[in-house]
Amino acid sequence: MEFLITLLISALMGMGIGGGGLYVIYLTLALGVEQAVAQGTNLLFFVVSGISALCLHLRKRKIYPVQLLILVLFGSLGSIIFSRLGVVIDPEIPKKVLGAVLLFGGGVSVFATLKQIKK
Amino acid sequence: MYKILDKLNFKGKKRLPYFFLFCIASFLGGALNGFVGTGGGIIFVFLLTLLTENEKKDSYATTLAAIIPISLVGSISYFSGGSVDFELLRGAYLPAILGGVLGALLVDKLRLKFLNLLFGCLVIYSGITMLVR
Repeated sequence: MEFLITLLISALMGMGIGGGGLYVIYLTLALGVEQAVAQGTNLLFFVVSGISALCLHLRKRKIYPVQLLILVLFGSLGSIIFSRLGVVIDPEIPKKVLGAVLLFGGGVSVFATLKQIKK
Repeated sequence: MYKILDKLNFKGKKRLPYFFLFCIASFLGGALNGFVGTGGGIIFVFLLTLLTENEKKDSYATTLAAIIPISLVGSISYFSGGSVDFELLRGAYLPAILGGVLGALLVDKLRLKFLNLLFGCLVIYSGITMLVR
């Protein structure tokens, strides 16, 4: 069962739909893993899953190198600073932030898809 | 500088303000990814859709390529703080690799609108659960 759930979440990540948030939720709510450990484990899980998907995407999709460079440079800077905070802060705070992000992301996704279907 | 701006594929002619917005949002996306262990991809896809003329699937691929090194950098802090469970990861390597390949193969074949809708509802439910628990 654990294998199947992880496979499904990873497949969603590979499609580019998302799934990272779901793995954190699966680890915390279903397996009882601590919030900070779930976050750290999810980051490495995403690296493994993302590399395998990217190998296939590279053959069919166009990746914009300058966009990529800026995203990685500034994104890494943000990640370095705030991941240190994520480890030491009260776990309830990142949990609530994650909840808000998921609510926003899910809302945008549903709204945009319904708009496309109406067209 | 203008050569770089040309290569960013921005919509319209407000290239310099868009460039600064792009840098700030990239920082914020990375910050969110580091802080909660996920979520940077949502910001990046939203950013690329809003500011650039990229095709949606190319935006997904560019986001995926960016989030991998950003996640790796973030995981170092969690690892130093003892917050990575390698026992959990050991069992997840195989489904993670297989799932990633499966997702990339299926993306052109599935009805993504239906899947997006289903996933969106699941994410909303998960978000509410995280907020109220």
